[in-house]
Amino acid sequence: MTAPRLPHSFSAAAVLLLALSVPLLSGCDDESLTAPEIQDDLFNSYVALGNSITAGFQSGGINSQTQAESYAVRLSEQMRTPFGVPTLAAPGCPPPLVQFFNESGVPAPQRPPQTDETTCALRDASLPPRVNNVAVPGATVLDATSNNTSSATPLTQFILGGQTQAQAALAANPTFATVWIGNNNVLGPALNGTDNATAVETFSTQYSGMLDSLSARQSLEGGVLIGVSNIAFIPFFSPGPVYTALEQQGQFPQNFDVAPSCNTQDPSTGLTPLVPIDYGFGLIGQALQNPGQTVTLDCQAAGTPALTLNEVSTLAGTVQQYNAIIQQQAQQRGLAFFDPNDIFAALYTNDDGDPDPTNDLIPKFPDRDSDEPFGAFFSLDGIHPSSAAHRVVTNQVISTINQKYGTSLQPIEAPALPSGP
Amino acid sequence: MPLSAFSTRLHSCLLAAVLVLGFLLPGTAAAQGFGVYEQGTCVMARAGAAVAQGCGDGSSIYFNPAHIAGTNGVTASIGATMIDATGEFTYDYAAQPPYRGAEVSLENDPIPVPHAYVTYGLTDRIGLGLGTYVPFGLETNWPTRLSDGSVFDGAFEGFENRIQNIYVQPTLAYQVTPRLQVGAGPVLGISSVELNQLLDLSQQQTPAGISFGQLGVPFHTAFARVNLEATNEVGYGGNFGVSFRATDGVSIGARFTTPITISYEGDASFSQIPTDLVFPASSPLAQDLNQDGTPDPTSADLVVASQFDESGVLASYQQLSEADGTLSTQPIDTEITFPYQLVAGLSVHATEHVLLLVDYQLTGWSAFDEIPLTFANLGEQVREENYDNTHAVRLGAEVDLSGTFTARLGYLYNTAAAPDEVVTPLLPESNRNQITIGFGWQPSDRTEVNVSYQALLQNDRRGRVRGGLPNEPVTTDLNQGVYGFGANLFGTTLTFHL
Repeated sequence: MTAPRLPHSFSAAAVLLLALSVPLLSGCDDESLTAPEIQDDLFNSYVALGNSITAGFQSGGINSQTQAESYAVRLSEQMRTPFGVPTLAAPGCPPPLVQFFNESGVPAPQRPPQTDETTCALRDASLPPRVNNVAVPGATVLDATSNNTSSATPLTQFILGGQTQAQAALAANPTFATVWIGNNNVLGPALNGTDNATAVETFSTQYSGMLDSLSARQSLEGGVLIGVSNIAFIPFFSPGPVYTALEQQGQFPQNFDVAPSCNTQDPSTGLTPLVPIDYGFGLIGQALQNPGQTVTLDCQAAGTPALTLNEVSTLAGTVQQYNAIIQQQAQQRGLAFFDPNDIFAALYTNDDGDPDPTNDLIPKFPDRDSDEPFGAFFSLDGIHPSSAAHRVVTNQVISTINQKYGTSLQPIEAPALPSGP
Repeated sequence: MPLSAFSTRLHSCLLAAVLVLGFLLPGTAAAQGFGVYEQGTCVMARAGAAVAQGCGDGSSIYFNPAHIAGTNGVTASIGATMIDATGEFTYDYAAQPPYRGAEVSLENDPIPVPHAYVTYGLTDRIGLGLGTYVPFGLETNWPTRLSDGSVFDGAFEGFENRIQNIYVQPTLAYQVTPRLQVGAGPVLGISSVELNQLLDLSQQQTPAGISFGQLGVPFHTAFARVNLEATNEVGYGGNFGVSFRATDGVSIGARFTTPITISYEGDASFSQIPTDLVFPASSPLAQDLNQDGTPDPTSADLVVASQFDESGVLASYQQLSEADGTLSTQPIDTEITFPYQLVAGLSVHATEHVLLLVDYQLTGWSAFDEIPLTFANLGEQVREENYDNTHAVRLGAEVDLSGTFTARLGYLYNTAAAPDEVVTPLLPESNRNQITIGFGWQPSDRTEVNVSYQALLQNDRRGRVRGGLPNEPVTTDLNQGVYGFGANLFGTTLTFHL
């Protein structure tokens, strides 16, 4: 077929030019990748291993609010690195206490209405793509690499979902890790009134094995090993001599007797027998209910929850040995070490001149009339650090990291530590 | 030629075409959405601009049936376009390791997309035709794991996806006046679909009505692979065209191809994948395995094994399989609407030897708003797509070099059908610029060979590799990387004028 010709001519070249210019008109804009905001490449992937403290357990419970107050979360925020938290839905699992003492000053832990210690709202349905805070309340060192232990709890399932802490951590290809675990290796026995902590050799083997597991992917470039906390600094335990002093001040019922065994102290260490709050107040309650019967707190009696001076000394010595091991591991592996007892000792031994033990920064005896019976640094269960304490820990860990790795993580707003005794 | 002879030849040609199409699969989408516009090599070289003036190779059955009117004798064409697609998804550098900055490449092999046409000039004014072509096709093959062994998130959206729709279209065209032609034909769509996905245990429900994720199972824990497949389902539509020669050198044309909805009845089969998860004895999911009255550490694989049938369960849990388990092989129904196409265009003979063409195309991709999946055991699921209608502009030029050789050139720009929040591994689409070039050689009056090349240049586009979680809206906030895509297309068509 012969093509008719147009009366006015078009230039093929002009058309080609037009065709080639159209891409410029229609646009070739590429969308781009989102740049990282991470403070330092060292923190590309931060994971936190640990137990209840790292998990964000407070006031005998855990939920998204308390989890967000964990030092690990605060630290990740300063690193500006994505940090997946295994969020437990409100009201919690179990819901945190709203009060510890009732109006009569008697321990009567209360949780939110229609909940109790068996309540668990499970994980939030919106799962993080990766879990970075793999810490589990109640975990001992062995739990970091095994879920087949007696200390595994339903929270082990709800947080890790069938993985171990080490497996979950490795899934995030960690470049940086904090490890604060081992507290329950001494706290568990202490709460049972014994000094039967995990043998030091066993602890050493388990701790080393855990770190070996973390190194399996060779992505780890740095980290902080945090030492085990001394149970003597926990306000859940009151010193025996404080009971003696309060008895002498007439603070207890007439028929409540504090045995002389409670009023002892190791002159070299300052350690004393320790009385768990539930045990001490339980005896006081017995005295109140049985006015005609003398109820005695004996800090030397075998088989009671009270920790004798000897048991306290043993546990404190064990903590020291644990921390020596942890520090040694940190040195061998090029990691930083931080001893949390530097914080808690400063808070515990702070002498403000007020002889009332309930007014101490870490009260030696709970202030039953206060909204914070265990002080500002411990939550309503008297065992787990409060949000304020987590902030203090965060800054201390930041300082440790900056010192070790030359980074410039900025501190967060937190209460100032006392300058020391 | 007697009509009976034509009928015999037509039958033979159709049989050959169907055989060819039976062996060749349609491939990766090269037009908007998962449309494939390269249904004739001559037209392809013009960037698809053909609605005002066809190529005379029978491909007008698709591009504008009106152009079949006025043809002489029998014209038969057969050919294919080879689509060699490359693409990748690159995770943001803000993504968490091991995904940070990781690049996952599309693993598509080159795929041929065939076409075959036969036309017959019954009278000077009436043309008949029969064509078979593949205007819709999609194939995206993604790996299921990254190089370090981590599961590719996108595999939960789909990792081996195929959609094809072969159109078979008898056509009747009539020359109303010397300047006006009309044509139309019913369309039989023969379609198959296949979708392979990993299943995420964390999103599965336990008998207690809560998800495994709420019990701590990590997000994107692959525990099963599902294959959804339905083949050779049919739907019906029509293709209509009109062409008007305004002057001796200027023609205009338009085409409307109706949408075709196809209902699929296929099978869903499930294969269990080891998770390596072990629920501790303290877990509410733990079972008493040694019958001592207390729960024992329990493999997650064991817990879900009874959901699979014998063919899908892991070998170590064969005894736990159940023929009617939730994840046993089961019938599945779905439905896809292939969109309408409305095209209008202009052709101008700039000189005796130069033909210029421009087409505008509107494609009704908004019909592809969702993929409803009805499983016999799993119930109904809906995959939201929410595509947008698309627009394309095609510019073509054809130069008659010697009467034997013809050179063609073209440029095409089209907008994307997938909205910003639905750029997924299924169709990582974006606005596209495409440049075409081709040559025709007519060694004799009876034979014509066309070859063409098309470069598909797609803008990089942000997209996602996962769906929304419960209570999480599907927005661009889920986009965590960039899709790149491109393709080289090579077309060849052999045409006989009998």
